[in-house]
Amino acid sequence: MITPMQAFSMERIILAVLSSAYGLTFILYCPPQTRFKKAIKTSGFVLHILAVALHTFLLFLRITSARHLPVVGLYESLLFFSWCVSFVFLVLSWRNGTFPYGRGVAVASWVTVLTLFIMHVANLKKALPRYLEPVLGTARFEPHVVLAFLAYAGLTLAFFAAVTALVREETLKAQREAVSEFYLWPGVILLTASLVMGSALSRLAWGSWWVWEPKMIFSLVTWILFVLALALKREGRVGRRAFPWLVIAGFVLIILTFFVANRGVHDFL
Amino acid sequence: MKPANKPGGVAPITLALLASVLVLAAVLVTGSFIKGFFSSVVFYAIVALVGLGLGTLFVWRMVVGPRRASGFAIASAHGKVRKLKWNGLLGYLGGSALILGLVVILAAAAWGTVFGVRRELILTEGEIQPLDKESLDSLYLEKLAFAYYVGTGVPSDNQALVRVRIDAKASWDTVGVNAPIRKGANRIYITGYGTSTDSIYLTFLLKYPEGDTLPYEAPPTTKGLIEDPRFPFFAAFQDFHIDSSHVWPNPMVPEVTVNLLWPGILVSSKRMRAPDSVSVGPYTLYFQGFKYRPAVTFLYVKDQSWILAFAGAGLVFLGLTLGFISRMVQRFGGSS
Repeated sequence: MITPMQAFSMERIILAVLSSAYGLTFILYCPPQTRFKKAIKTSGFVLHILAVALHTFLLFLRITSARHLPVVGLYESLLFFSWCVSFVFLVLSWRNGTFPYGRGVAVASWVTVLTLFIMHVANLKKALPRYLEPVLGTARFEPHVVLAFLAYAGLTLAFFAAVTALVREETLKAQREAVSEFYLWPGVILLTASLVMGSALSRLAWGSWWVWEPKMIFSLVTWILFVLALALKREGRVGRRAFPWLVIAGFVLIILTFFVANRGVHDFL
Repeated sequence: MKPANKPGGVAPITLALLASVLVLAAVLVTGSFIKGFFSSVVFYAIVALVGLGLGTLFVWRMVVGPRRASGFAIASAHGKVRKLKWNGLLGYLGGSALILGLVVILAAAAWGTVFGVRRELILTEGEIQPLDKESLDSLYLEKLAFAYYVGTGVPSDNQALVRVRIDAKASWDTVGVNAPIRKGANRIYITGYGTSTDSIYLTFLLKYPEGDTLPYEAPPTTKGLIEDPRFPFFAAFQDFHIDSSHVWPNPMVPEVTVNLLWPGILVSSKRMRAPDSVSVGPYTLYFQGFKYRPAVTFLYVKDQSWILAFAGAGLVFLGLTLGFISRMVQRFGGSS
């Protein structure tokens, strides 16, 4: 059995290996024009699966050392978010046209894990496990946060596809928008579920099913923008033109929600 | 008639919806930086407008929706209405459920604002307060207890033993974080705790030249506290402060400036942080810490709007799920 201290001390070396694995995955996802192109890409995909498996083990270690789901504080949030992005990509990679976005996912995971490794080396205090606030000690907390992170992962993938859909060529644009929409649906449904769980948590802790504080407002606006994007997708020229921009705007809001809007009852970052 | 979703067509309603939602988003984001915005009349007016708009959209959708090829994809071709395919119908129902869900949530918010009762009570141990101005219901705080993470001073939970009187029935109850008291439609939550400023006592140990020690307690503003005939000084305290910037090893460390006076002469003045000590001649004063009666913040809520709100959320969730299924079937099932 691994003790919490052992688990924490193993994190650094695994972060180093994991960062290299994601980096190599990214390289394999961008093969040169050779007859082995497909084989290289496939090996990249296999390596991505192995990297996610290792990332899952790292999360297990973190749970062992922190004694709670690793979603408290910046370090743990990034660790969990990067896992979510890769995991959601792999789960939804059966859809035709999604594979090229593996590059974006791999590079995002690579940069994030590398940042965490640097944080672990340069500022160990930031990487130390934190105690859970009493208000978070409820069974409603974990589903709320896990759903939110999985939603953010799906919406990040939708953002990648939306950015690439900003092209003039109509067929390519339509294909990429379809991929963005494919990622957007589960993302929005999970975000809705997360908001509902958060509302249930808020009612249990503060007696109110909605609190007007920055993170909740930003999440609501994000939700509104993404739902609007889905609703207008097939509503004529205006809707189709607005779609990628609404997805991009929604993603910008996610970033703001995650890093800026942390006052009030969500002051845990 | 030209169908609204014909590629290249610009439907005014789409443009209006897009513009109004973007304005609403901007207002909400801006409002989060303005204090008191979400309890202002302007905000309530905006919410009422949004609710009215959504309600109208829902009715309009119910009335004309099945005959037009839009929204969440009702099957149609060249402006002619076709019999709805099951996935198209799912999409239509999904979109309608989503809009209805939003209307229900806004109605719940209005219900809670108008009919809900919320009152914050700050009680120290041994204190009683009425729950509601218009009734005889009351809350009495007997004791607050903390649980800590093992080996630290970091609280993991706090619970209060209270006596609640609601509808002429009194009972002893325990209220904790995430464990409110439920009495019919009444809920009592513990939302915070702190120190009651008028109940703080500083605690010291004074060591005499002979070697024996005696404990002393005094409020932080007391002057001339130590009056033991064997101690020749007067003590005065200034700038009492509780440092709660560190959670470990002790989340609350008291600081105070201790002035020791000989009549007319300031013998010693030292900013002390527990467990500092100060020596004057053969005497040593040890600052041990402080005692206080905790003040607990309770929230009394009588509000059933959450039932409506979660019903609305369920409708929204159902709507999105139906829309998703409909869309996936349309894309991969070869349907229209």
